[in-house]
Amino acid sequence: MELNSRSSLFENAKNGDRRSLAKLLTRIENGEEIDIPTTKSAWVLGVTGPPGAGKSTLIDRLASHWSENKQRVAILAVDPSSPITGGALLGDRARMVHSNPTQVYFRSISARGNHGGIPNGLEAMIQALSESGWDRVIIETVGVGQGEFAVISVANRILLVDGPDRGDVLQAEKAGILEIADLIACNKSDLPGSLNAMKSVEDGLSYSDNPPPVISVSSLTGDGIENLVHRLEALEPDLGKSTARAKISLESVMISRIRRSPLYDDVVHDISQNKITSKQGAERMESNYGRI
Amino acid sequence: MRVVIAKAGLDGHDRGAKIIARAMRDGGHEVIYTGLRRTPEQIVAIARDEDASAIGISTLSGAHARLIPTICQLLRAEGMDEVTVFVGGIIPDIDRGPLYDCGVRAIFGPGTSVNDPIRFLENVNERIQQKLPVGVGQGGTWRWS
Repeated sequence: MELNSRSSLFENAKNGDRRSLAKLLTRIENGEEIDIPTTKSAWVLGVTGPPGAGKSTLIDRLASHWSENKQRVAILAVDPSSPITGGALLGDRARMVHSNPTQVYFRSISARGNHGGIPNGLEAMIQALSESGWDRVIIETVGVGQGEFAVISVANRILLVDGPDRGDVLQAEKAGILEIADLIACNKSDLPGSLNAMKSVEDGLSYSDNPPPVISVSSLTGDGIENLVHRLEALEPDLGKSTARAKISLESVMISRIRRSPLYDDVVHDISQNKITSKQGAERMESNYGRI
Repeated sequence: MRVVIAKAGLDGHDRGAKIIARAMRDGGHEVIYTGLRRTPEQIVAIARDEDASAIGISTLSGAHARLIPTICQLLRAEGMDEVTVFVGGIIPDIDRGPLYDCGVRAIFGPGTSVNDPIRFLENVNERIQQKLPVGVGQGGTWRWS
């Protein structure tokens, strides 16, 4: 099988060859510009939430449900990379115990130092999956900071996951994520105190305009998963949220471009040595925008 | 390099696998851990979908002589000849020859320094640059020692 040319990789991927698909995604991830046709609008669910909320375990349940119903599910799990070595330990896959890796397509993606930004080619990767016949594409990212949250803005349906021992989802308000979330899942409903936790999330949201619905689930026992699936399937991309989403993804792309600028290190150095102010640094970078 | 660290069969001990995964991350690699109790078919599917260049199989249960050759055969059947397979754990000397014969390029036993598997991957990388065989289906007699 031809695994070297870009066009044959995409053709093979469309015909169901997963090895070609994997190689295609690697090329996109490595920064190659590959033209992927746009013939359908992808169904993309972004899942985020604090560390330990149970995102991977919940995604495992969802993937397993859809996969049993003969739908093709692809998961892109974005994890941070080490700022020192560039290496990454991509462990989300280890939580996948219900869904079968021979059916569900799961791909671990290292942020590759792209903190505060969307990993290289993530949108093109989604496109490639959707065009090769993957019905449901799920993006997973840990919600610890604004940058990590930003990854989720490439999705057109967004699920926030929180756990009873956390209440961290309210932190999401600061990062502007509540504006783009469609649904909040309060996970670990099997644990004591989960009803209270859910109520406190709802109370916290009561000051927001048009807050997303909060539902209770347990990835461990499977309780509430059917309900979550129905809600997610019924979700239509909320055009009211598309502006907020576009803002986050644009800003995130701009931040990564600024960080990749050849001037970046010099300007940071000059600011740190008090040679120039941050404002002057920003102006110097702006005057070089064409070259960013 | 993208490396899959795999636990196959019913072996439930993954401390070693996790330590190696962490060490390889610190060595600058992108490491994907499969989690426990994967079948050979699942491990091959994971390596394929993740486009991994290498698979490290951790085994302490004694089932290596059955599971590892199966993984190697499945990789070749999938056309994934260029993927490097290495093994860590408890492998008696008498069982090592047959594993090398089925395409395993390195076996790391108890007492191995975490630096050794990293040096092994560096060596694999150099050989790939030089277009020398490193994969499970590429033949040749090269193995790490």
